[in-house]
Amino acid sequence: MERVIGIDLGTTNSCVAILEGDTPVVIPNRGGYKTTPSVVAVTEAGKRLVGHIAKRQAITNAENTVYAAKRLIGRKWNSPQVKNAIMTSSYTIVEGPHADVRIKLRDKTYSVPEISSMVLQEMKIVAEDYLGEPVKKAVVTVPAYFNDNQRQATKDAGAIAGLDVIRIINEPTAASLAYGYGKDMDRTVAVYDLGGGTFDISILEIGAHGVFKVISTTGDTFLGGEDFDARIIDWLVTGFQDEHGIDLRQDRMALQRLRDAAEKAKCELSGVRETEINLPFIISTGRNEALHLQRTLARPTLEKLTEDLVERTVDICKQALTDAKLDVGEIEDVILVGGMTRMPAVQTAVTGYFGREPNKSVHPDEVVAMGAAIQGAALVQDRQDMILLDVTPHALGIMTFGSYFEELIPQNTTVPTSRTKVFTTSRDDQTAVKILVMQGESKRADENELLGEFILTGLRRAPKGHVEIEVTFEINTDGIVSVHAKDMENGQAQSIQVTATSGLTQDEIKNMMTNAEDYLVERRVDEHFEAAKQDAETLISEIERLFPEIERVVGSADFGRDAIAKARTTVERTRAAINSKDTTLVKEQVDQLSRTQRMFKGVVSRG
Amino acid sequence: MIKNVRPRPNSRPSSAPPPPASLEPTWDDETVPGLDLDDPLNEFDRVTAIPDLPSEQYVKSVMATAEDSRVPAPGTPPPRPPAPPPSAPVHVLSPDEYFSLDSDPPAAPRSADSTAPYAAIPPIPPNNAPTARPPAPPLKTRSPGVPPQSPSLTGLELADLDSPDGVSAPPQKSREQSRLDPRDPLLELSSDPPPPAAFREVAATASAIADMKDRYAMGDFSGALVIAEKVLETNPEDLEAPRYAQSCRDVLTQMYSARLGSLDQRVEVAVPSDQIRWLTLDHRAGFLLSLIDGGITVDQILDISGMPRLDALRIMYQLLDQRVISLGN
Repeated sequence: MERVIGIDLGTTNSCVAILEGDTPVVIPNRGGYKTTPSVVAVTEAGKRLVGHIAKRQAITNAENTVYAAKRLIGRKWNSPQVKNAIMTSSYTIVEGPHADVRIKLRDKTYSVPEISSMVLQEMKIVAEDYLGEPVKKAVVTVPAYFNDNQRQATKDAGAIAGLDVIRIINEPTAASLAYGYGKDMDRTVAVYDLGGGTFDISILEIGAHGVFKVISTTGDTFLGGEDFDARIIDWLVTGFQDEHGIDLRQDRMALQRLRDAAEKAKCELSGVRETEINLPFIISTGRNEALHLQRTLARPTLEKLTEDLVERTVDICKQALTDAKLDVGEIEDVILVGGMTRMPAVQTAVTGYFGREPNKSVHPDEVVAMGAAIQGAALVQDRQDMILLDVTPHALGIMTFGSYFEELIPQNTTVPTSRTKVFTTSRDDQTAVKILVMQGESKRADENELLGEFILTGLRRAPKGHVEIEVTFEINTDGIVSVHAKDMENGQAQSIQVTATSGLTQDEIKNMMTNAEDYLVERRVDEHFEAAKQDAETLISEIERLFPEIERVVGSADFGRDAIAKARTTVERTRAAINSKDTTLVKEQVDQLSRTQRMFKGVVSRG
Repeated sequence: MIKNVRPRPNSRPSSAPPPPASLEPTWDDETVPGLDLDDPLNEFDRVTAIPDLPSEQYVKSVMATAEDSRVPAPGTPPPRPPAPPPSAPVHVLSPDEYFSLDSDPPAAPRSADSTAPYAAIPPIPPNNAPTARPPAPPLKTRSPGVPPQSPSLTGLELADLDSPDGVSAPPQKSREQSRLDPRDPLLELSSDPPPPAAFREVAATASAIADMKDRYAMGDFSGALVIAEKVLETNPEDLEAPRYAQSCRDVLTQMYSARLGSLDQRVEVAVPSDQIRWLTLDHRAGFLLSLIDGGITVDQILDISGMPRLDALRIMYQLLDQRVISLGN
């Protein structure tokens, strides 16, 4: 049966999992880490870096390193989030041809789905290396508040990466799925997700027979582990400035080291009471004089530095419960998601607010990917009891007089669905009406997302409120929204079909898919070459080590001289093959080198 | 003492950079531990290749270059720019003028071209020109009655031209000359104002270009690169310096890469972490060390270092040479 991977495409870190038998397993990357930073960079030489390696140069190559692309995915150029990102990002954000967002790296401009596809492609490679077979299908998670365009953009990113995204599911739903996997439960839970860059709190109802309903979700897209790191960096920089009068922020290399050290110290302090931050040669003051940074950070100090950040998360939790119209006592379990929830102060705050110990049965970094993997397996195995129902992530409706939002299809309605409502004219002798199709939960129309608009004309002239217009919303199984407006008196009708868009055309997506495939082929070729080269170099070094001994053993015998000369020729040919980057030739030479090595070893052991 | 001096087919240095492939990748040098190769004060401490010149010629050229470019000790006159050819107009100072920089007009000029306008700034020699020091731009003599405008020592020293081989003599020589026959046309004083700053810059650039070429021809690619970069700082429009700089970078990159071996080797810190601070390193080396996590390769460090590849290669080589790091599969 075809394998489906589950991918948690996070703002700061991503994770991939698969269901093996009945157990969800998180797949480690080549570095052995179970999460991969969602960071993409292009080096000066034009090389693409993804993951840890990209993160480690994020400050020294800030202009060409993209982080938190998820904050931009599926957004329109003129959205406030994009304006904010332009102000705060170190990389260049430009307007795309379809009023979408593009990112400039070196001399090339990339769409946001393209950047996200690089992370997804990396996760795909990690899974393929682990499974030893190609992976084509995936379930990808997104925040519960993502609208249709953002979800479509995530799907497009998957397509560019060569993945058929068979389902997009909400992150808190995935976490709940992993939490409730194998248990038949019926309860209300809170999913407290404090990640690297964002904080989300969702209240869900887990019903029997696999019903997962997101009752409310809220959060802060600019509150996460990086803010905690920043506090530690501030503390280190201030201390150093007091001692030496030097601002380490002015030096990119120093700042990169500070950031790495701060994150490491923060993680360590979840397990120990204090940790030492030791950064030798952090900065040079002049000729032959470099200064070192050495400080001990204790857990209470970190807690004091980040106290307000933790309190902010609690305030947001209160808001989520208010939105869900629930009392804190009605929450039956709290699921922790995100690496930051390992911090003891966070756990204490959660316990304090919810009045119960959070559930620790699931791994906070891995639970979302595991949930996605469980869902992926259920979809291909057609296990109806575990398949999540596809629901509308946000309410759908139209704008009415006074800029109010009138909801037709509520949030979390299972699709396909259809709803109708009758409206009247708002002015005397009104002959046309403009229907603005919107998505969101706000009562104010301008706070929701505009999906499309059309005008119904030919209305009868009458006093306001006398002409009735029937508006029908339909969502089909593919998630395509159709809106019809009809003058109930004269039958005059008009309609629009709203398809979620990532801001990319089909041609653009196809082009990007081709580029991604080419990159993958190139990368695989390079990897094969590197593997062959490493084998060859190991053998060469072994053979060269044996040469003196062989010469001593075979002495002046003609046979020995010939063998040594042949071996030297083989070594030279291998080096030439390596230089010419000819993988096939290097592999052939490896065979010859292996034979030579075996022969040499035999001669030496006998001699 | 110069060792292993090897004759080469054509010992005339060429201004055109040789193709990198023709260079010896297994060059050796006596790298000073902790040496900062970017430091201009140390540029004469560097020998990046055994020169392919006859030893006498090599010594002579090194001495001449060192004499020209030596950084002055406090209180000594600044270095002399290269001398113009013997046909250039002569401008010799009296001891008083040399030391007091008096603004009074000097004795009436006798130079035939004393009133001539400033000569056009000579062009930088073409790419295929020999690397011999280029002629300095012709100097102007002062017009009668025109007081010198804030003459600088550098500008006034250009008068010393009696060195037959074009190598500038020390300042004492000028004072001796001043006691010679004043009717000697070579000793004529000019009443023209000293050459403007831009003029002196061009002369300095020409001198630096020549020095760069000499160093390149001698195999001192680091030195040539330092000079090329300095030339580009002052004269970004220069056509030759970028070419030489790039060629030097290519060669040095090849050399350091050859020394490090395969760039796919994994790097490890070979010094216990508590002893690292006792090493003699700068912050850039410290930064590269901080990137080493046991799993990273040389190539990856070069990619993520955020510094020019050549600089990162050089520091990695120095760290390897000092046994601060080790490489392996």
